Amino acid sequence: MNAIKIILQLFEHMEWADALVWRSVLSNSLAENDSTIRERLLHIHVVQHGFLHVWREQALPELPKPSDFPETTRLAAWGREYHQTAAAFVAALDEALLDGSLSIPWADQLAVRLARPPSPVTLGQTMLQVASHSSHHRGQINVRLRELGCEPPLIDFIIWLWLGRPSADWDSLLRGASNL
Amino acid sequence: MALGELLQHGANHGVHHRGQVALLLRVLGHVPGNVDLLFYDAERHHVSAF
Repeated sequence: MNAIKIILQLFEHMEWADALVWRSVLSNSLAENDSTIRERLLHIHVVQHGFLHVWREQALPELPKPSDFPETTRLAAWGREYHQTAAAFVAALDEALLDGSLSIPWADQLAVRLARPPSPVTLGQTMLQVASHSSHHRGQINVRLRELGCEPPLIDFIIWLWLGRPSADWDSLLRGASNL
Repeated sequence: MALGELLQHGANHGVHHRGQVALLLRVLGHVPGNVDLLFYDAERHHVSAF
């Protein structure tokens, strides 16, 4: 299996899993209004969008605040927007690009946390980081969903494979959302 | 299913549940370590010249 296929599968799984978590959140008003869940969903999508800007060599916009998404579905739609753009980016990748060095605009903040300048990273490493980071925080959201009495969705990578690599179903999830 | 896909699942599964443990540690008043892949890369490639 080559690196491109690994990245492609991780990103397809990430979108499917994000959409499933969103479906569980939006189907329960307690979950939809829970600050722990909203903070983590915002964090997942901020990091996704942030790295996408870096990959596309675009200037970073101002970080969105929770108040920028007064309706939870707006945040979900922003997540969907990320996945649509990221899928096009992934589709145009080749192996050589993955090994290219990347400059991280927030390296100064990282240096503070690491207590030293961060090591150089490649495009491929940051793409693995985004998939891994999203998985980490979806796990946290699933814990919180269970605490609130909801059944968290099954979002394992292997489940996605067993189901035949389904696409994310954003349409039925966000039908009627005001910003779509 | 290819062996590579099973390995992908293993890595992804670990990330998911470490995230859950990190949240529960925070609930219990502890500060979980940062286990991000890029932090790991930085640690692995750290040279004393930095």
